[in-house]
Amino acid sequence: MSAFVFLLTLLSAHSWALTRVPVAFVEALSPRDSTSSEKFKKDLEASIEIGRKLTEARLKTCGYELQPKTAFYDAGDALQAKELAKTEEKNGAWMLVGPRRSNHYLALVSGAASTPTVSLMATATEVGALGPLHQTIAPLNSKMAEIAAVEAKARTKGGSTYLSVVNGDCLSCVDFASHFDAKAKSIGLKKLEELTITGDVPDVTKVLEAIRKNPGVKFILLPNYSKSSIHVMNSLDGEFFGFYVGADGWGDSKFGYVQKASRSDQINGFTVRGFPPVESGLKSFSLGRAILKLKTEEIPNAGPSLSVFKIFNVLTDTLCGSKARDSEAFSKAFQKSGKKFSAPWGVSIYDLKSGEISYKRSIGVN
Amino acid sequence: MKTSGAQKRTSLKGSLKTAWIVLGATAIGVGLLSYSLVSALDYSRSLRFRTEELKSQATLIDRRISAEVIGGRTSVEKVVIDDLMSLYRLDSITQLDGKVPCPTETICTKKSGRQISVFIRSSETLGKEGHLEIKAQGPVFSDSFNAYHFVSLFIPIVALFVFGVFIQRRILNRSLIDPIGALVRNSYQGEEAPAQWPSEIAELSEKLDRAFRERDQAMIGQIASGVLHDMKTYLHGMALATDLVAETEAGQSRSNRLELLFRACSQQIPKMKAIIEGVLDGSRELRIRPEKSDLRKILESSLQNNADLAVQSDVEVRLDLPRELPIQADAVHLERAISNLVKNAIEACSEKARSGETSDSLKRLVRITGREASGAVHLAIEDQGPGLKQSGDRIFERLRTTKTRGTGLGLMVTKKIIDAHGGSISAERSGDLGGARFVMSLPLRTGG
Repeated sequence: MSAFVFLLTLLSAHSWALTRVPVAFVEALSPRDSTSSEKFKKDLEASIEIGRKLTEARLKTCGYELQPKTAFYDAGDALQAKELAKTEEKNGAWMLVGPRRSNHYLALVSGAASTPTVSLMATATEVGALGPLHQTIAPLNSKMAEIAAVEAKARTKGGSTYLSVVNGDCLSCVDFASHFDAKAKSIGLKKLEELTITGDVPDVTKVLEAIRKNPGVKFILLPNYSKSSIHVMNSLDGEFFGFYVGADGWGDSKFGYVQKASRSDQINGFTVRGFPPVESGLKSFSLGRAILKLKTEEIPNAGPSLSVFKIFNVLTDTLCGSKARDSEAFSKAFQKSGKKFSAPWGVSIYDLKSGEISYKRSIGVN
Repeated sequence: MKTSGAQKRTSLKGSLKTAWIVLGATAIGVGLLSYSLVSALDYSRSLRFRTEELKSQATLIDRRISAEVIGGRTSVEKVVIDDLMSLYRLDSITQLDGKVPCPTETICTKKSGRQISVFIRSSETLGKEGHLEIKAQGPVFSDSFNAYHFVSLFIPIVALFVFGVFIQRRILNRSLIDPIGALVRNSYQGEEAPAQWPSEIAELSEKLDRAFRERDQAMIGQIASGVLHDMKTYLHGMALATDLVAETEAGQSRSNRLELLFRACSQQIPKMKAIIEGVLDGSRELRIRPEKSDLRKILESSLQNNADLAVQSDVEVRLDLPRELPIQADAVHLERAISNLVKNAIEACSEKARSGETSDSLKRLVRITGREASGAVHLAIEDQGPGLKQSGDRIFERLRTTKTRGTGLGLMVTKKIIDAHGGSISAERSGDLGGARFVMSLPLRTGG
């Protein structure tokens, strides 16, 4: 009996000794695309829960208890990311995770400049210049655009001309295009025209005119978000017979409109992303391998989920390695190990064939 | 010809017509006023709504631009500005660092013509505190005065008015106006009120019928009384003459006495005959036989008929006529009509003298003037009597007399005779003589 009481006391004392680590996952949801947003939200929350459960035991032994929470905002108002960041920082969050979009992530960082942050997918060059306290899982546009340009060159046979159609209101898209153009020029690809579009359903009149004016153009650089990209592709069906080059905004088979809303078998091309397929991505780190042991249907199958698992992995390693007992100590430890978050899987190339996106191969970047 | 002092009455239909015109004008006025008011209110509401819309859009625009700047851009891309302007239907988005109309407020608005400007303070723009000025077009004033308002406001009012007129014509006319009109025309003919008349009007019709019948009976009684009184007077004259003849007087031969009797009879009998004819003429339709006549001669004959009366009443009858006045007339009836007027004029002067209103030393005057004009003869008979006691055409109605004697049919018969000749007669006050003035017009005879 006394042994039991002793054990109980020991356990309780141990519980009291656990350092609570609040981590806020801040993400944008689109009220105008509620179905997709709801699916993403469910996957994200499921990923967070899986990550928490599978790291709980280890963190406990290290004396930590992760307290993840989610905070969602309207994707149409990027400033809310800043406001939420301020709130979570004030609430004592040790780390903020997200959002996926570069300009939203930059807004978040401006609201919590002294709190470690990691974006699931931001790729803009400006993100790379934020300093060691702010990281992104995905490779930067500079790297991805280079690889895309080389791949495009490899796919152009007997021609080297392209059109650039970029969403002017997308920071990351403009950034990717500028790096692509720089690399493309250096390897002999020739840009015939640069067209700026705006919004999710852009006016493609000028694009059609450019196509008709340049019938021999080999590919179109379309580094925009998926809804805008597929609108352009569907509008050019029957007019353009080359291929498209995209950035990671196209989404994948689960999230994104390029595959879901494609109306033609003639839509072909490729895109570059910071993640391989989830299964192969999980194999590269310990937590991932543990997740693979779960039933397949329990594992969310999308790139952002892979990022979440990786973040849990690195976070657990950082906490257990640093033994930080407060947010300040953690911030210092984060600055030292922050690079472990970034680009663990290199750049992956995905084919777009007959309107379907499928993985081709990955290229390391470090 | 206007009758002085006569009251002009409007018929029920006329009053209703006037009322409907006034109502129609009011309905149009109210309709236009309502249309204008509602349209103006609608414009005001639209302007208010657009201003509030712009203010909330300004907040979203500011947040979007701020997010762009935070996102690492040193200036906001033109494509973003263009996208926002297209999305929110704006004229311009400008970043201001200088003077703004409301430096202490976060957001304010200003209107200039049709353009609305919204000023919003932005702390994120280009990294320093400044303002965004957002300009957009407000609602067009004339857009509020649209067909929808016109139809929804103006037309129902006018439709209501038209419906009211329709209801009035169908229901009110049938149940009120037409029965009243028929009542005025027919009630004294003793006809039963039609079934569709309202009960009140049917009852009124019966009461009027009864009243008219009683009046007719009273009138007959009065006429009879007058006739009998006059006939009694003349019969008394004839009786006296007869008695006188019966008495034997010295120095009078039998033939002289018979002559006196015959003279008395020959004088009194025509008068009795005239009275009887007058009563008969008053009650039946007049038939005249117009022939070529001279009005002057007829007038002179009328004066002759009243010569004794004029002498007895000490009244001068002055004639002022052209030499000839050719007319087509039934001389007998016309003479009787004019004689009646002259007789009335003489008796009126005599009445005034008896009342002491004029000096005994002055002779009273009856003046008869005539002239030709516009294809007609205009004859005026004026006196220095007390003037008319009834107004206008009422004097020519049956039993309208103020004399103690008489049937009250004289003027009525006179008017009947003049009307039968295609002429007209009216009564008014004489301006210079002060008494009554009867004016008649008769068509001139044309041709040979």
